[in-house]
Amino acid sequence: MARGVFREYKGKGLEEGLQELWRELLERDVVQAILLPMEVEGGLVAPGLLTDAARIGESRVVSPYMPVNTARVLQMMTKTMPPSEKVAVVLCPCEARALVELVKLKQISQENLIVIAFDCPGTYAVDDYKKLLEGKEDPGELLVEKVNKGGEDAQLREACRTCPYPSAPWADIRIGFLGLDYKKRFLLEALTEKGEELITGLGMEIADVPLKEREALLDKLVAQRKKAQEQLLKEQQEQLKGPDKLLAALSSCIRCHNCMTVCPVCYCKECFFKSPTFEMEADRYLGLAHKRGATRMPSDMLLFHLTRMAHMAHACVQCGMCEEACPMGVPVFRLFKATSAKVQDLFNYEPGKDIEEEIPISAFREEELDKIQEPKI
Amino acid sequence: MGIIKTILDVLGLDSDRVYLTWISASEGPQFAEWAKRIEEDIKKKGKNPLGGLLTT
Ligand code: SF4
Ligand code: SF4
Repeated sequence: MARGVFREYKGKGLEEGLQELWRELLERDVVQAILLPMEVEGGLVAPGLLTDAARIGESRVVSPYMPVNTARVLQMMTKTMPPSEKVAVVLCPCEARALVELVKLKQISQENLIVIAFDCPGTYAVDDYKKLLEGKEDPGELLVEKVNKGGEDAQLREACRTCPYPSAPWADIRIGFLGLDYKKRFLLEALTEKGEELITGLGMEIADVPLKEREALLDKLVAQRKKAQEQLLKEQQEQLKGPDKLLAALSSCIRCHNCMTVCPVCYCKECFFKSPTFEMEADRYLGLAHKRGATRMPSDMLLFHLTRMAHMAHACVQCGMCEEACPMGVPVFRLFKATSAKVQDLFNYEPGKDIEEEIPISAFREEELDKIQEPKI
Repeated sequence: MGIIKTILDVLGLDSDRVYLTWISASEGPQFAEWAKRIEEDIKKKGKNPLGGLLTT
């Protein structure tokens, strides 16, 4: 059971059905702008801030491609000052989950934002998506259909194939089209007061809606994804564990910091790796070399990744943007997924699940993690 | 500390080489005692397996 309404859109595609919703939101002045995926020059998709209802035809929410984690964009947008007009932000689940973490860290202000999270069957890497665009049919609608029939696409990004959140755990509004009669209607589900206001602002009445079939499909999909996740963690342990294997995997890293720049939850304004600590004089490099006999230049690949993990493993939403941005084929996602999964287990913390829940590293408990803290010597 | 040890364990790096204890500035002897124990422990463990590798 959920609180919400169904939006009917018989005879149109899902994307068009959604576009009607965006149009109404703007025309009825429920919001003054919408941040959502839009088709850009050449056919790819990127987040766009849309204010003119005449341009809703360019929105592409069903597109299975994710160039950036939009929570990153919202941090940039609201950091200095929240918007003075109402903005609906349309996010996929891992973006909504990153937003929750950034709100907790006071990096995103929720003022005047209404968070709408849509079902996500998965996304493709940029090269795969470009190829799919050459086909006749819309890759987004094809994927929705496939997943709705209980299928899975092996070509999806690894992060998506192993993602147990096809539907976002938190948002003001959830848009559902998995496990539903998605060729006719989609679900608008209100999870917060703001969400309810948006629906009533559209002149629709909220009711209890039964969702048995939807829940059954989502449960099955989540179980499938969790199995794939187990497999990935197993492979990490077999293929990437221990000094030799780990350093072999990191050996192509050129410390370009791309993985850090795109990571939505790597949020520090003054990054340690851009600090004077790493502006070393020649003699300090020489010192390192003398101590070890030889040292790689530039140095500190392992230190870079370990530090990033220690800072954000509890909050990693496993979106895989890091690996998409890596020019050198480093399995960054696998390494971060494996470590963050264990760290999150340790604190029994699911990032993005609950906007009220405290971040484990900022909550003080007098007694915690005794087993780990006990000195062993 | 829990985070760091967990990460090192997952990656297969020796998390027992990371030590944490709290000693007040007024507890000099305890500090010396801990330094000694850590030194002994490290000697027992032997050379850092990452020491000679280039990508660190
Ligand atoms: S892992 Fe990849 S993206 Fe990250 S710093 Fe290294 S080369 Fe750059
Ligand atoms: S480390 Fe990678 S997977 Fe985790 S939140 Fe950052 S970009 Fe996403």
